[in-house]
Amino acid sequence: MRLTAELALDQIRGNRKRSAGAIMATALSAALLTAVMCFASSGYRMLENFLGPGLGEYAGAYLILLVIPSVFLGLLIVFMSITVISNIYESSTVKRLGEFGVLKCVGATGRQIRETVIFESLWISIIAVPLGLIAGTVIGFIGVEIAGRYIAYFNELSKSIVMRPVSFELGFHVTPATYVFSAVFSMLVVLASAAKPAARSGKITAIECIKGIHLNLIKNVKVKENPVIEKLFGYEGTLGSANISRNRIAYRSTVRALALSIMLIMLAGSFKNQAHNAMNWMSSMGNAMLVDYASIMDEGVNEQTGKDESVIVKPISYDTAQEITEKLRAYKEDLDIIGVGSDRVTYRSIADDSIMSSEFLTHSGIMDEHGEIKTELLTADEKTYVMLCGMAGVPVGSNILINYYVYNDNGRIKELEPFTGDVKEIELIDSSNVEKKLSIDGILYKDQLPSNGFESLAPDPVRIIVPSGNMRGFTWYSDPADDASFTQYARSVMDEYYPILTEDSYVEQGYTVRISRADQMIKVMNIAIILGEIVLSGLIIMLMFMGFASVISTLSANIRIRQREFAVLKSVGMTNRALEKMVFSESAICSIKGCLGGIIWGIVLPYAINLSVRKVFPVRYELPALSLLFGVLTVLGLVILITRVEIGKMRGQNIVEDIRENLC
Amino acid sequence: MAILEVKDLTKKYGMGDGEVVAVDHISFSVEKGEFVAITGASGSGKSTLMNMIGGIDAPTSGEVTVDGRCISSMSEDELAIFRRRNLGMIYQFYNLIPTLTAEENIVLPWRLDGRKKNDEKVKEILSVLGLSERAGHLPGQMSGGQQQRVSIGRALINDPAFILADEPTGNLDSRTSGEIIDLLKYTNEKLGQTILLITHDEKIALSADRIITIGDGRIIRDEVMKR
Ligand SMILES: Nc1ncnc2c1ncn2[C@@H]1O[C@H](COP(=O)(O)OP(=O)(O)O)[C@@H](O)[C@H]1O
Ligand SMILES: [Mg+2]
Repeated sequence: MRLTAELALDQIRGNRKRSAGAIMATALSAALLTAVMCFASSGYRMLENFLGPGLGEYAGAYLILLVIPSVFLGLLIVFMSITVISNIYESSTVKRLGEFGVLKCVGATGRQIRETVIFESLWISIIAVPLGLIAGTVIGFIGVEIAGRYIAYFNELSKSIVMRPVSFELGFHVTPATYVFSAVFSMLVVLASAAKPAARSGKITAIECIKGIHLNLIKNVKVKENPVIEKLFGYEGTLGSANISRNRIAYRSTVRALALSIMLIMLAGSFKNQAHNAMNWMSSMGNAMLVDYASIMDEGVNEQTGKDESVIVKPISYDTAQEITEKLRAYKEDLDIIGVGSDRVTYRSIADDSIMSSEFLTHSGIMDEHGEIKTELLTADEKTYVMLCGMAGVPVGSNILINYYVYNDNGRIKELEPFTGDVKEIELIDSSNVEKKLSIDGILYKDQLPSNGFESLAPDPVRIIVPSGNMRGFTWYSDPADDASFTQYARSVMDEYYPILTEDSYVEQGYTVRISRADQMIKVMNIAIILGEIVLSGLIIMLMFMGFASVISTLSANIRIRQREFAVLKSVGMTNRALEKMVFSESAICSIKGCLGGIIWGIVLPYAINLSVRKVFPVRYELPALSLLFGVLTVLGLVILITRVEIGKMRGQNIVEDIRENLC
Repeated sequence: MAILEVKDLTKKYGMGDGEVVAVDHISFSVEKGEFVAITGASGSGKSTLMNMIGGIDAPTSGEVTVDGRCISSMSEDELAIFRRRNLGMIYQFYNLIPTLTAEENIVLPWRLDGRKKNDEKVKEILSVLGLSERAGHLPGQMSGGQQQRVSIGRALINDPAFILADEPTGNLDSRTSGEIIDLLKYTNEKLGQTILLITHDEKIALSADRIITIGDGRIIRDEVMKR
């Protein structure tokens, strides 16, 4: 065996405690990566079902919502692991500086020193990575099982809505590739973690090692007396603060670990906030009972014009819609029911600055590359239509323009009136470039619209209510007293017109019928957000544990490594009490530095994530005050606890022993 | 031919007002087989001189030539390789690797050089050192004198051009010190090993064939002892 490998092995055997720590941290990191890989391979199959036909409209949103945070999180795992593990090698090399000095004096090259550090990490990995793969499989299995249960619950829910078994389920699934990737990533993390301490150790010169163990890391910076620290912690505090600024490297790892922990707690808080707000927004449309018919669409490209073209496969005719309305209304005397039909795919409006406001036309994303604007044609059941005509002051048979557009402006909900003055006519165009002039007889504004049916989370900019026509879909809104009996009744009505024939696919059938309360439907549609939140929170909690472990290991190593210094201080007459005060003030100063860094990152990172989230959801960043408070208190508690424990251990020790032990 | 030649060696620390000239234009040479003691008060520049001779510290000016090769122009790594093949260094603190046994510590320079172990030679050295029984012990399981004997063994393993010992007895009681010096003297007389011994203790210096006394970074006396 190579000498450098052997030395590394001896080092690992000789320092069992530290090696155990390194193995645990490496295994935890490998486990985390493995768990993520398990999720990835299990989720891979399901994802296709996620983004299948039912979610088509929101697919982009889900992708953005899932992919961007996942990449952030993946990087976070790697960054976190590297920080934690390199902390361990860093403190290990600080302890071994004397040894490296000896090696250099007897003629080891920088390369050989670097090699022993790298070999140390490789030996550790040989034990830790397989452990991590096993532990990660267990964590991944449990996580996938929990997520799978949630999905099963949602399956039940959606089955009750669409009366058809939902085919996607999340089961634990791994392939050899899962493990190959996990092992490779873990090894890369380990090597990256050892690289910097290895490089630093290789650069240490023999003279630096001879002159004093880790003296070369101590910089003689001018330390100003800080009156605040002096007041708070006394002379011992000033001494501690000098230690920190002269021995940055030793403290940097602790400060970094503290900052990471706080940041993660705040990140978790922000994720929760944003997911919560996104859900709130989605359920802001009320909680009416919905009976919903939708045809599938055949999406393609028009051969002559090259424009996107969607053909409604099974449109619902005006007469059918009216018949269904009457039948549903017959459920109970005077059931308040509003039926609204919609077609968003057939026509677009041609931009026209004589009738459209410039604010509207210049708004980004309103016009497509052909100068056309997305347009929705709406119909209503007869009773509602008559009411709307009355509201607009026009005779029955008129086309009514809705002069009200609501949109998500980078996280804020904004409203505007797209049209100016009196509009007499709108020019529509379809995918084959056939133009059609539609007369506009009346205009309705926001306050004149009924609460159900005419509001939408992401409405088209131009919306026109027409007297009749074939529509892509039709939705009936009501608020029956007994949901179960109404659902049963509505299902029987719908089955007359649109029976569920095949059990498995509505693509074959060409339509879907959903009956449920709005919030249930939203729950099903938002399963990705809910699952994402569960998975992200789980990962963040695990990362947080790593952060805590790192705080514990670096802080206690910092105190332990300086036993000789403490012994010297004691030998010149520093009392135990004064020593404890000094160590405490060092920990306190570290915590303050760590908290500040962590809070800054804990704000910046979720804010950056929100920048992409707010493109899709009207959700803006909010400071998670509770998480912040919780994070600071947890971290402070942890620091105080560790310092206490280490000081307790220090008390029983004998000065002479300390000095002797650190000399050979 | 001189095995060691030191020419105009100078080391300055600091700048301007704070400048300290630790070694001030020192020149001397050592012949093969000599046992030279370098003495002087604490702070006179002995360790600085020795570190420059050993190539672990760079001189401000001047040259060190070992066995005809000028070491002042070598890179850090060249120096390391040079050291492990040609020099043996011993310090006040034992400078052993705590996780290696006595025997493993002794063969370290060989192993660093990627050379095979020569059991005969190790056995011989261990018996010279009186450590045959302790070969498998870790530094923590040995007394100070035993640890220092291990570092002498490590210095000897490569038949170095010379051994540099900086206060090897500084941390030991007088009886153990005597044993260590006797051991060095033995290697000098029986094995013909060239030795540079640094000490502030004049009694110990008297064991050498030649005593160089340093004061304020300069040689103030250089005398050959009559035997
Ligand atoms: N790193 C350094 N920076 C500044 N001065 C130093 C440094 N190392 C040694 N000196 C100074 O050089 C002089 C010689 O030191 P040294 O060679 O260690 O003395 P000796 O070994 O003879 O006791 C002393 O005056 C010491 O203060
Ligand atoms: Mg000295």
